[in-house]
Parts: sequence; structure tokens; C-alpha cells
Amino acid sequence: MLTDRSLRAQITLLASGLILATVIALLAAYWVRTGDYTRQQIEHRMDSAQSVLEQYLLSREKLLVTAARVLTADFGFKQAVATLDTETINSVLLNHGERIDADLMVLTGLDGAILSASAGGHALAAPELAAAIGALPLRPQHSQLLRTEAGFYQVFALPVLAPRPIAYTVIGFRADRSALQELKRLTGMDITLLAPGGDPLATTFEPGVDMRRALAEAGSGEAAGLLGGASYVYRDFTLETLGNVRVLLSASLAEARAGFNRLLASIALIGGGILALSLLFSQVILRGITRPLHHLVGLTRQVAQGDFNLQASTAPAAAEFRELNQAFLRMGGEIERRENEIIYQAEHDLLTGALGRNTLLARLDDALHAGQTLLLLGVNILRFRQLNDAVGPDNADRVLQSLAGRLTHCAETLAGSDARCLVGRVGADHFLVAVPVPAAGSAGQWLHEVYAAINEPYVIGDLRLTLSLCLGYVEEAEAGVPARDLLRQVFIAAGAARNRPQRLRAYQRGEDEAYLRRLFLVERLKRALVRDDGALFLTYQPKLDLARGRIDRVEALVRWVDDEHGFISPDEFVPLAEQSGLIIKLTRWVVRSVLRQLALWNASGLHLGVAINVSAQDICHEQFIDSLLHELRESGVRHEQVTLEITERDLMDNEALAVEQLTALKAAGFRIAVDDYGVGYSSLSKLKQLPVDELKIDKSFILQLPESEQDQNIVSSTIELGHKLGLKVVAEGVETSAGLDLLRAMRCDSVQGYHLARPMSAEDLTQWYASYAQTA
Amino acid sequence: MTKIAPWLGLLLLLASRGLGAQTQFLVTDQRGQPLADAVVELGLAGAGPASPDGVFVMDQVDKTFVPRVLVVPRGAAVSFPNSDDIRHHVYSFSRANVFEIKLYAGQPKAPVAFPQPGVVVLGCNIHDAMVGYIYVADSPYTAITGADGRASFSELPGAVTSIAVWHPELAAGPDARVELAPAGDAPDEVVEVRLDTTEPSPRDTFEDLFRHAD
Repeated sequence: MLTDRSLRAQITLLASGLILATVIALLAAYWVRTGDYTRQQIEHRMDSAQSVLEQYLLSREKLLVTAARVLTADFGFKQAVATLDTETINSVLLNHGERIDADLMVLTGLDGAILSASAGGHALAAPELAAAIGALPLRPQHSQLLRTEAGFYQVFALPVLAPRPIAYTVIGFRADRSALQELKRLTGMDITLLAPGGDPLATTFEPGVDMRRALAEAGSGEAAGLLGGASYVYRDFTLETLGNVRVLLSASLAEARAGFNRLLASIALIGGGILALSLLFSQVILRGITRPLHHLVGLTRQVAQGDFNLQASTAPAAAEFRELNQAFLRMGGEIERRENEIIYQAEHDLLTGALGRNTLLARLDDALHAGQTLLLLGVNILRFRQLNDAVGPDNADRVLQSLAGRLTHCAETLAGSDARCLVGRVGADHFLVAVPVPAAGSAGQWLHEVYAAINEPYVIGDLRLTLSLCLGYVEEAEAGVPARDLLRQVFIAAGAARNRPQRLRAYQRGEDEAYLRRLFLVERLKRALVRDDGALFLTYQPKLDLARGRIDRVEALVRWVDDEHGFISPDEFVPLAEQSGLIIKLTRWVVRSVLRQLALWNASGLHLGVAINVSAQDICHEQFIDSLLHELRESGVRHEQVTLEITERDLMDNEALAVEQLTALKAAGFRIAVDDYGVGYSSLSKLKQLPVDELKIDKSFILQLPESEQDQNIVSSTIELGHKLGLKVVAEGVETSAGLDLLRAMRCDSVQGYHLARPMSAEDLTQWYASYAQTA
Repeated sequence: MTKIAPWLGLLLLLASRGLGAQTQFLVTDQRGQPLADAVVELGLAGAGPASPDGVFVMDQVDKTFVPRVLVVPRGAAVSFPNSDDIRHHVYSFSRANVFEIKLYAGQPKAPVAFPQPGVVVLGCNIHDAMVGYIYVADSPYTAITGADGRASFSELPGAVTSIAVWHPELAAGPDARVELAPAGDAPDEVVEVRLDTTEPSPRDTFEDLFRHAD
């Protein structure tokens, strides 16, 4: 397609195509028109030649007839003819014939008999002549064509009047070439005279010319013209007045052709010249177009690559291109400006002007890799959302701006110039300041200055606001730890600063790891719960009923052995579960697993009660009771076999709701035990209100029971108190038989501990129970 | 050259009656129109030749021969006074008399004698249109028709042995005469003679012209 090609090709093609088309069209038009015109011209010439010829021949005829008439009217001639003397007649014919240059003189009597006949001085045979003459049409004013043995003559047959006709003369003139030559000169055409029968009488063609062929050509009626191959144009007409002599006009086309060819050659030459010129000029102009265009293309490439150092083209170019060039440069400048704007917006927090999180991290990494050692300070605004709600977003924004400003000021005061300190807003209410590590020892001072500065109240209009801020810092950050991790460390420190009086805390090494480990464990725990592939499993620790002396209950303890990290202590993962909300799922899992196991034991004839630890979150979960009952139904275990243990602390933390739920649970028939009793915040008054069945004395009191009198007192009075309140008491952590004996003496209801048995798997318990039952 | 044209089919025969004391001839052309200047020459048995006495005049008036046809007896002398104020050159190439009176004005020296009978066609060399005729008659009994085409003879002494009628426009040519057979004696009758005169209709070829001349 034409439009796909380069501009250069297009313009060149256009220019040359137009000119070629013009030249060809002109040539064609000329060809046709000139052909027409020339033919017309020739026709006209032939018309005038024909007129000239006719006129000439008619004039000549008039002359001749006049001459003939004068001759025949000559008295001497009449006299001679009247003598009827042959010799006289012969001589007078000769004489008078010479007077008028007649080629043929014939005298006939009134009856048509030839009296005398001579042509060019020679006598002619009479009979054929008489017949020929007799065949002549009677037209005294005009010539006829007479054929004799000597050839053709233009003849006039006139009566010799003396004064009545006494004889007829036939005076003949040969149609001769010289007259025709004169005519040819006049008309510019070749003339051929033909007798009616087709015999040529005279012609201006050179003797070498093939008359027959010319005649055939003329007769063929071929459309003669410049386009045809004929070399002549013919016109054929008959002169009736001249005895039906046929005239053939032949106009040579040679000259017309030559002229025509010259014209065509001129046009072609001119066309070719103009074409060449136009190609030349179009190339020149093109360069004036394509060069600036290339320059502009180069500019766009530069801009695309982000190089805004655009140079104007120095080459001469059309005004439009200079304009375009200027526009391009302007555009480049605009693009650069906008790009910078966008970059700024991408990198900065628009509200405060601080760096955005990603930019800050990147710059931190850069600075650290460049070898700088930085002090990183993180600021967390506590309860910012409440502040936002309280004073409105506009004011809150201004607070942020102000805070950022103060931080920047502090940073710059320390760092000296903007470039070496970084202030970033890394969260909605989190800021990070990075400064080069100040001179030895002055870091603490600076930190306190910053702390003081940003804890100053913020005055926004009429408002005087004080923020609750937590600050954490990393003292010496170096390359080796990614900025992302450093950021995390700073805010771990800030988080840990929360409970301190002065909320400014350095990051402790390992916290990050601990934090990460916690995150990791939560994930693994989730996975273990979902997969239920045995990473999580239950152990059972039997409880001995001291009064009856038999094992009737066990406590279910959850254990976790992770594939990768091995044994994870419940002291670690249970609090994690509680913090992350996984405890609900965990407890449910425990419940389900325990009930399943109970069902198995029941089926095998071993009837035990199981105590399940539940957390405050479980108790307070609205669906806890329903799901518990559901699981119970599913398993087919009776609720009397299930005891729910909840720590004293948990109870106290969520007192009201816990009481409600526990009441409902108790109403449903479950036993409730208070775990780790004695180390929580309960009061005696509360104790009596709680819908519990059992107290489990914390192991801290039992471990050293034989040795510690204090513990003994506490334990025995607790047991008594519990009994008095109608509660059973369990002691856990029994490790010695002495302790066991003591507890028995104190009339503790049940004991649990290593002395009795360690927590073991369900299978092991089954076996242990069997062996214990035998030995007991 | 005298040729007798035997075209009886073109002639009306005379009435059965013979010729009487006054014989009138009515000469008409082939269309029945009366022909003036027709000459009727009667040949009578036992008649002698005409007397050549008398003065005969062929004048030229207004470039015309006057009279157009002059009948003269054999041997008569005709004078040619030129009444025009221009000269004429009178000539004749007729066999009957070849003569010429070269360019003259007024009376020529001597009258011209016409010893031979026959038709003498006169022409003027200067004025090609001038044509005159002198009928040199053998018989004294020669009359010329007037405008009415009639010519009359009174008191013919004898029987008519031959009738010749001539007119300048005879189709056969000015040298020809039409011979009629006398048809008994029936006087007081008009003899009607119908002559073929030259038609003005065109002929196609000279051949036709020649044929008509025969």
C-alpha cells in the first residue's frame, strides 16, 4: 500500500507519478488530437486542392474551349474546310492546331465521316476514331475524354459554322504531366488523372512509383491517418464536367508524420526534463522534511528514555518544522516537569511531605549500602483513629503535618543537611526518621530531644492536642540487614515501648526473631489445625481420686510437634493461639479429638472423664456452647464425662460474660474447673458467685509442698475453703510421694502430677490404666 | 448538296384534287404552325427558265440580313447594300455560290451574280449570328410564304410537274429540299405542306446528330 511506504517514497512517487501521468496524458491527447487535427488539415487541404484542381481544370477547359472556338470560328479555317479539299483541310488543321497547341485535330462531316484526323502530326485511322467520336456525349461547352490509339485526349467537339454548320471539328489536348506538376506545386499533393475506366492518364507521381499499388491503396478505403500505416491520404472524385475524368489526390503523410513525431519527441523530452527536475527538487524538499522529522524522532526517543536534555535542531528547516521543534522542546520540558511531579508524588506522602514507604526503604537500603551507619527512629501514634473521629480529618491532617515537620526539624538539626537524613511516613500513623549516627553518646540526648519535641502539644486553631506516641529505635543500622527488616525492628521496639512510662525503647536484638518466630508459629499452627495430620496430638495426664483411690479422670493436654521445628511447647503456642484468635479453632479441635477418644474408650469399656482446657476467648465466643453441644451429640459422649478447665486469670478478665456462659454450661451439665487457682486475681467473694465445680490449685504451691510450710498452710486452707464452698479441689504438680501423702492428709480430692504419671498418649494411657488398676 | 428526303410518313399528301387557277400553299411545321419564309418552287411542264432580269437586294439592316430569304431567279444579280452604319463582311461557302464581300460599308462595287440554282447560305464574318438565304430558283414559278405560311400561285400556265418546298429550318439541313409529287388538278385548293423543321430537343451523342443528317 502506498500509504505504508516512507514519506520519501510517497512524495517521490507522487511527484514523478503526477508528472508521468501528465506527460502521458498530454502525449495521448496530442496523439489523438493531432492525429485528428492533421487528418482534418489534410482533409481541408484536399478540399482546397480539389477546388483548386476543379477550378484549374475548368479554367483550363474554358481556355481550351475558347481557343477551340476561336479556331473553328476563324474565317480562314472555315474557308479551308468549305473547300472540302482534303489536302487543304489537312494543312489547315495542322496549322491551326499548332496555333493553339492542340494535340489532336479531327474534322468530320455533318454525317460523321472523318474528313481529316491527325495527332502530333500523324494521321490516325479513321474507323475507330469515327466510332469513338460518335460515342462522345454531345456537350459543346465542355470537354470530353476521347480515347484513340494514340492515347487519351481532352477534346472539344465544335461545329464549324459558316454560318450554318458545315462540319465538326474535334480538337483534343493531351492531359499532360507538366500542368499537373504545376498543380502539385500549388496544392502540395500528388495528382493522378484517370479515365472513367481506370486507366491512368497523367500523374505527378515519380515514374518509379507503383501506380497500381497506389490505386489499390486508394481503393482499399483504409482509414488513413497518422495512426494508420498508410503513407498517403487519398481523395477520389470525378469531374463530370470534364468527361467524367477521375482525379486521385494523394496527400503524403510523411511530412505530417515527421512533424508529429517531432512534436511528440519535444513533449516527451520536456516531460522527461520536468520529471527529472521535479525529482531533483522533490528530493531537496524531502530532505528539508525528513531531516527535521528524523531529528524530532530522535527527540522523542530521548524523551522516551527519560533524557530530557533536548537540543534544538540547528539545520535549516521550514518554519513549520522550527515551530514543531520548539513545541517538541516545550513538550519535553513539560514531560520532564510532570515526570518529576509524578515521581515526587510517588515518592512522597502528599500530606506531610515525608517520603513514602517504598521510597524510604529504597533510600535506606541505598544509604546503608553506600556505607552509612544510621540511627533509625520510629514513631507510632496511638489511637490515631479515635483522634481522627474526635477532631475531624482536617485537624488530624494538620496534626500529622505538624508532627512530620517537627521530626524533620529535629532530623535536620542533627544531620545538618536534608540529604543525609530521611523522614518517611510508613503507615497512616507511623513515621520513620533516619539520621546518621550522631557523635558517640549524643544519640540518647538527641532521642530525648525528639521525644520531648514531638510530645509537645499541637495547637490547631483553638485546639490543643496531645498525642500518645510510642517511639522505638535501632541504634546502629548497617548494611547487611535489609531496610524492610530494620523498619520492622524499629516498630517492634516502638510496640514494646507501649507499657513503659517513657515510651521510648531501643530495639533488643532477637526481638525481631522472636516476633518472626511468633508469626511463623501462628501460620504453622493454622496449617496443623487444617491438615490435622498428627502434628497436633493430645496427651492425657491421669488424675487420681484420693478418696476412692482410683483413676477416674484424665486431663487432655495438647501437644505439637512441627515437621520442621520439632517440639513446640504449649506455653509458647497456646498464648500465641490466644493472641491470634486461633484458640477457638484449637479448642474446637481439642474438643473434637477428646470426644472421639472418649467414644473409643467408652466403646472399649473404659469410662473416664476428661478435662479440657478452655480459654477466655472460648468461653466468650458466642457459638462455643452450641458447637460444644454439637460435638457432644456427634460423638455420642455424655456430658458428665466432660470437665471444662478455665484459668482463674481468664475468668477474672472477662468476668461478666464468663459467668453467664459458665452458668449456661453448668446448666447444660458440664463440670467447670478453675485452673491455676491461687495465682490469679480472684477474690473470695467472687469465688462464691462463680458457677464452678472444682478448684485446681496451681502447681507452684504443690511442687515444694513437703518442704514449704507456707505452701502447706495455703494449700490446706484452700482445700478447706473449697470444701466449705461445695467445691472439689484438685492439686496438680504432685511430684513426690511425700507430697501425695500430705495432700491425702489434707483431704484433697484429686491429685495430678508427674509422681502419678506424666502426660501420655491415649494408647499409653489405656495400657497404664490397665497396669495401674492391677497394681492398685 | 441536295438531298431528297423520302419521309412520306411525315407529309400530308395533297388532296386528291388537282391544281387550279390559283393555287395556294400552306406550309406548316411538324406541329402545324405556319412557316414563314418557306419557298415553294413549282416545276411546270414546258416552262422556260426564269428571267434573271430585275434587281434583287439583300440588305443588312441592324445586323440582320433583310430579307431573311430572298428568292432570285437563276443568273440574277443581287446587290448587297449595307444599310447599317457598321461594316459587314458577307460571305457564302455554299456550293451554289462561293463568294465574299470583304468588309464594306454602303454599296459594294458590283452586285453579285448567282448563276447556279440552289440555296446560298449567307453569313457575316464579323457577326456570327447573321444568317441569310438566297434561294436561286430554276423555275420562275417560285413563291415564298408569308407570316401566315401561305404562298399562292395565280394562273399557272401548265401542269405542275414537280413541287419543291424549302425552308431554312428544314431538319434535313439548309441544302435539302422536299420534293412533292403533284397530285392531279384540283384548283382553288390549299395545298398543305408539313415540313420537319429542326427541333430544339437535345440529342445525346454526335451519332444522333449524324443520323438526323442522313
